[in-house]
Amino acid sequence: MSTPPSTIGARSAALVLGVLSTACGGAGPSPGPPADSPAGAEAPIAAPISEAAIQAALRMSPVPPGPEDPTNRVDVDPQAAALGRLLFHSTALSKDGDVSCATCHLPEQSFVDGRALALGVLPLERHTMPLWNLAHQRWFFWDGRADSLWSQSLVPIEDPLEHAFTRAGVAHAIHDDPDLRRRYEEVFGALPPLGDKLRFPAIARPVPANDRAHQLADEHARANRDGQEHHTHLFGSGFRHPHQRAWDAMAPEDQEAVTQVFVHVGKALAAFQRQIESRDAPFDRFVEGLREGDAAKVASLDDSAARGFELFIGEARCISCHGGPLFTDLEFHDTGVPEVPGAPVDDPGRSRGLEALRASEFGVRSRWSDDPEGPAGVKVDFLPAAGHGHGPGEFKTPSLRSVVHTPPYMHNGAFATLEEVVAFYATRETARVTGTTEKILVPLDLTEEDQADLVAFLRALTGSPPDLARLGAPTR
Amino acid sequence: MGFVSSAIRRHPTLSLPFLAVLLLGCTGGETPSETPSQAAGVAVGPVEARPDRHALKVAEPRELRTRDGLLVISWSPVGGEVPVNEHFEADVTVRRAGASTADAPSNPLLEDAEVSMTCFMPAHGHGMLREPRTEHIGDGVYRVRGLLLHMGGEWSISISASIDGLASTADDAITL
Repeated sequence: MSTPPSTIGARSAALVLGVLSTACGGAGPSPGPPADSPAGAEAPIAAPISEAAIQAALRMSPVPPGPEDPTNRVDVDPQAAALGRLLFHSTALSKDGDVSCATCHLPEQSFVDGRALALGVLPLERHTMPLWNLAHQRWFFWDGRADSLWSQSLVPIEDPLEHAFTRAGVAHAIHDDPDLRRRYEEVFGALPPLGDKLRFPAIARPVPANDRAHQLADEHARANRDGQEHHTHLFGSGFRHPHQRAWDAMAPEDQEAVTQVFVHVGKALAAFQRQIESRDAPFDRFVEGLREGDAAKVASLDDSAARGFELFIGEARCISCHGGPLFTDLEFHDTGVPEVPGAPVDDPGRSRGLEALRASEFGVRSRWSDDPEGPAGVKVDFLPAAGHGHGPGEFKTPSLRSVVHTPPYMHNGAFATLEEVVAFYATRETARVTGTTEKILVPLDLTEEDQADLVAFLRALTGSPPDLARLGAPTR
Repeated sequence: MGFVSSAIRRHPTLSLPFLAVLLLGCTGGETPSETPSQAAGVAVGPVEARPDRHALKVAEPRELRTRDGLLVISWSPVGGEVPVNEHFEADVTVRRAGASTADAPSNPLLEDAEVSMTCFMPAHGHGMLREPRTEHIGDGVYRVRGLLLHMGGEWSISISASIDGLASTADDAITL
């Protein structure tokens, strides 16, 4: 990595100077050596790092405030967030009333579930994604098939494998709960006349062509060797899904009204989820110490973690993809993650995600966006044409903030521990290399101590645990 | 100071700057570029609260000769810098190569070219995850929109200009 042409270098050198000179007995606001350590002897500087590492560190902390999403006018509305919190934890938004967002994103487990592959109404094919610092993300899901947090929040609700619910059902769930209804109407205005069940069926949605109900029907048809009736005859050429039939029976203006409620639910869920932030990690205190010349804060990164950081930005080249304050480039790469039982073979990843993104009715440039012409849409304006730009097996680079709390790892949960992840990148022994795998990923000359240092650094990215009083299941 | 010696072992080229900094720090030495407070060893801060933005400044247009030597292509990022992992735009001009004279220091800018710009990371084996589009915005300036260099590292840049159906390509490289 070259030195960027900025003033960082001179300032950083001054920072190190400040830290070191303070440690050597210079005057300054920083605490001096511990009482049991003579001044000028072993200085209380836990982790003075190279100039390059200082420059990198200054670019990686603190986590800036989450940018407001202009496509969601209630993105930072406290009332919308409070409504979103109720909805996030509500099992009413599911087919059988037994699945909520918190089923996979458990607050007490750092908003993940600890499973290799998630489990909604039915088993899913990928690992539950962490929810830290979502306001900074550019794409959502491992394959980036949503381009905003609010549109992402809608997908699981109507996914036959996750909540298996419908947008009409969502509208009724809010309408039929006095507290939810009051809160909804305070933020978004009056609900449509959902009491009229003839106009507004309890269950209805437009079923997209790529709906996983079709995929499930195919799987049932193939697996139907037990003589049981799986109604697979209902799915097939020329047949309309029952949800679609109910949807088609509605007047266009009523469809519009229900979809509007559904979109509002996504925006309230986004307003809540953006509050789930990971910051205040030892690494952040370390960088704060560098900025302030505070030796005590610099000592927040122990020697092993400091060596790990040097490796992270240097020999191990982790920073290539895991750069910036979130430790992710927010984009997609094929790192050759091995396949695991239960996960699909040759998961197409981003290439399929792009197709789904284009097919979505809820994009940032759609009529449901609150800023469809705005700059937030630049990211979708120049996406590669279908079939170009992305090979199979590309998945979103996950943030490493609080990564210690979100095992197992990778899009398919292939690795149980951070040690396994580091060994995977260090040795490449289990890598599933294809023509599109990142060429930069080659076996590294890392000792066991080096790998342990990298893990120590990853552990130093752990922020405070979620504030369950603010983010956990609400009491009503 | 165990870590310092460890760091120096791992990065021998760092040893001189480290030692210099250490020496200055422990003796209160001054360097001409430092403020008095820094020279006295007082910690600097607080400084900017946000992480420093990472961008390559490109103050002057980068002038390139095409591989066939027929064209001179210049490009510069709008705003004067190429940011890491942020969308940006670039302006490109094209002129025929030729000997300059005092009366005609360079040939005129061409306004009827078809221009495209692609970026690739040789070490990684991939390019951008966007497909930029180019528009002639007038006076021989072609604006390339939708550029996104999503990673730090070396990027090779190819700018092609088609004139009368004949394409010429110029190459550049930058390191972010």
